[in-house]
Amino acid sequence: MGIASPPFKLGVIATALHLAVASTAISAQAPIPPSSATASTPVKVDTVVIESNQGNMRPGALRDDIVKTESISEKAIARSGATNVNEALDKNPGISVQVECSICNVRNVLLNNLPGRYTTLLIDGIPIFSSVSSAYGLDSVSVYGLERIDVSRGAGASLIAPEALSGAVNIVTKRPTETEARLRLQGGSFGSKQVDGYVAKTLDGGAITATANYNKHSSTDADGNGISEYTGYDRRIAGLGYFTDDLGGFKLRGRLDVVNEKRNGGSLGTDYAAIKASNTGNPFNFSRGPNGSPNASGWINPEDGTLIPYDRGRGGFSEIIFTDRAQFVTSGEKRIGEGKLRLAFGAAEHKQDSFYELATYIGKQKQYYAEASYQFPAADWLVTTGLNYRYEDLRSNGSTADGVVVNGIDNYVYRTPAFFLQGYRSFFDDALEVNASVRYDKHNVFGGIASPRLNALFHHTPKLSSRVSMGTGFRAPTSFFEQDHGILDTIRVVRTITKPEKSTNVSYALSYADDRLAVTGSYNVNRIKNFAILDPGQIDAAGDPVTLFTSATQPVTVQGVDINMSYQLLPSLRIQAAAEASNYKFPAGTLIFARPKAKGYFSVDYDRGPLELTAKLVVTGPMDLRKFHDDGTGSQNRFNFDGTPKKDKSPMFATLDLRGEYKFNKTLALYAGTDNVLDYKQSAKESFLFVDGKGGEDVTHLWGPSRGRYIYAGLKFAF
Amino acid sequence: MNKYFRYFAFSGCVIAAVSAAQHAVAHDGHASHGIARVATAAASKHPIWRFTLATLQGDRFVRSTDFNGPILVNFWSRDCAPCIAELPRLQAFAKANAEWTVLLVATESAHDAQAFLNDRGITLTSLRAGADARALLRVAGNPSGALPYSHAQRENGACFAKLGELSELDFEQLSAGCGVAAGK
Repeated sequence: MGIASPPFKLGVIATALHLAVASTAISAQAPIPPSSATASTPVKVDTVVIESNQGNMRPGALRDDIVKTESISEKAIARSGATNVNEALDKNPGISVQVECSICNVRNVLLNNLPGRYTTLLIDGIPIFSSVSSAYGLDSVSVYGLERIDVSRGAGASLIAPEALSGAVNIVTKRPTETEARLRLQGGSFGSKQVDGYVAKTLDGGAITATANYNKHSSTDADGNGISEYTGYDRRIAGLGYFTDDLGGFKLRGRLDVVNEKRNGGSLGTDYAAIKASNTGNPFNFSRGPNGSPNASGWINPEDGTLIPYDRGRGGFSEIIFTDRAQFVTSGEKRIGEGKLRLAFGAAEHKQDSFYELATYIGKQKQYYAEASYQFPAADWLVTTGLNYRYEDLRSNGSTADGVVVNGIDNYVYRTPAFFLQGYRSFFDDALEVNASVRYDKHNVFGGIASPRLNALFHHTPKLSSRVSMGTGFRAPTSFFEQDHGILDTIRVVRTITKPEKSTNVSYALSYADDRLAVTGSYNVNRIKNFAILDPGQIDAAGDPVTLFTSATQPVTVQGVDINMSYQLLPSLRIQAAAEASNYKFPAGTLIFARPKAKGYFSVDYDRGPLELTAKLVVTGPMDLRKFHDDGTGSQNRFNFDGTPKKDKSPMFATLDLRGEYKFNKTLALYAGTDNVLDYKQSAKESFLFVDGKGGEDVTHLWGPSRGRYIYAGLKFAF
Repeated sequence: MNKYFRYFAFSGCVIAAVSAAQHAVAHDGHASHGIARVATAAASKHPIWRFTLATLQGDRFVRSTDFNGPILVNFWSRDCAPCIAELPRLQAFAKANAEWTVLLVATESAHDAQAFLNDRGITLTSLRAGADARALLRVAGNPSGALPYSHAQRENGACFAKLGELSELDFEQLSAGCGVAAGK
């Protein structure tokens, strides 16, 4: 239940509380023969719940929580070669990272193939990311110094974050157990460089940590038209963490992170000022790539077959985003009476200074989170009750490509105090665990909203268990980047939204784990009402272009099944296989980025002594591009630069990643890897770029990998 | 909702359930070893926990059936102070009681755990925790998932289990036979 209710490990806490109040509980906990049990001297039991070590669990296994929760361990993160949380989550069953812009690489984490804005990111159990900050911000969440990432998909995923309509991702910081220093140096193709540093110092009853990351990658252009498909970036991150075991009775943890990132896509290079200043002429070659234009100077207008010359310079096809972010999260727990008090606080300030194809957009956001809750046993129940308060605002200003100043058109302030209550109880000798919860949010715009949830875990045997979850959630829409780049070509947003987005979700999971085999199969269905839509193609009474911010009249329903299994074939060799299939039912204009019907995953991990080898193959099935890109007429209305229609269906493709690591000794390890060994790139089959029926260009025709074969190597030092 | 998709999903769940259940029975060859099972098992009050776990080095599997005498299995991790405190005592117990096999099960990264043991001169056979440490603990009779946890068994079944640090009295009782008197 790490994410279901981050502060409230109900089953575990129930045990802990039980142990604390009854030192003779040993005999109730373990199958000890009466003679041994009574012979053991009743002592105050000093135990450590091994939730941290579940970070080592294998694919197909679930955390011991009521809500189905998968963990991506520190080791699995390292094996993936991930440099940030997006890369760590990608290529796992039921989880995908969707790129929604080929030249700015805005990326979202999709759970159960629902839009990324329905995924809530938590840092140590505290929600501190919004749709604004997660647009580019998740690339800036470092995975160095983490213990694990917990992913909980579907209903009841979070007691404290009702907006997690598709699930929640909880990033768990590693609590140091010894003083250490680590350094990682990595270099790779496409001019990539990475340096990670981590220092941990254990203290008497606590620990402090410091992290620093530098990551750089050039923008890449595989099809030779001069417009990048993979966005370059220059990223710096620093963080401080602290842990205390007893400060006024509180067990505390917290971390402060600061991020500075510059990214540029479209025109190649990092001469940002020069790119922004270039607004005339054609530096690109539109004849390159599949179905390129017959003339390098522009593209064909599908409406009449004439050539539309391009004359907006480097800046007209470039997006440059500077991000500055500071965030702080802290939480503390204190035992009071037979219960436990938890206090949590989070704050974040996020600034985005961006340049979108000659338009500018500067957004500033503040977010705060505060929580106080108390968990206590009552009769046979373990009750958790508390209050939390969420604050989120946005202040923006900028200009259109024509130079018209637009200020504050997507400003908002959301204040949401809430009350929550959860009860947990086990039945049948702990074979059945149930928790039921309800929260009531008082949103300053959308009013009072109640969200009930019910989760159940049944242990058929110690190895086989079923989980059922059902519940509702809500999310207050924001006009920032909800859909496409709607905010860009408008001078006004007309809000007709009166209701929040609401979800109803049911999921079932059956899991089995023994010494060598772990397998989980699950089914989930999620229905979302009042799906928010940003429609930039509207004209007001005065003839000015405006963006309509409204709700879909029909619900969006996504069903999915997946199975994930791993098997320890040899003492040092593990194989994994997984598959997922999804069914989508939605009105045009809602799910506007393509998703596959099915995906398959196969991996092999070898781990013996100092050597580790990993191979991972992901097969992505075809996507119904016409259905997802339907503009309401039953067709995509998308064309190549030569005037031919875009593909209606994407081809099936596969990516293969390889990585190896060798530890020479305790201090030094060498690793190397190749992502996308098969060098599969969408740009070799179909351009990310397209024009509509009247010749207007866009950059969001995405279904395949944007970067080809990527080779990297590095050194790790530990002291 | 596509009815064929619904049928597919339902069929998949049924197949997965049956397959997993069959595997559970086939793998164990007998009922699982949880608390409830201990209480209801007819053949043996505390049946033997059968396991097959890889060593930390990844060079071989260790099976519960590899040993003739009594086995003491201790679950531990580096961030568990009482676990670390009892490691030398477990090693001393193994040295003083040759008929006993003492196995350590690390609930975390194999490489890190092995390095930790090497640093402290612990030479006991050390194992990985299988697909899921919590599930393994549950099977071994510890549904809480807390550490340290020790489980002992003889040829005729489990004879001792304790959640918490082992005391000198516990070691004395294990040395004295671990349920031999009671079980025979």
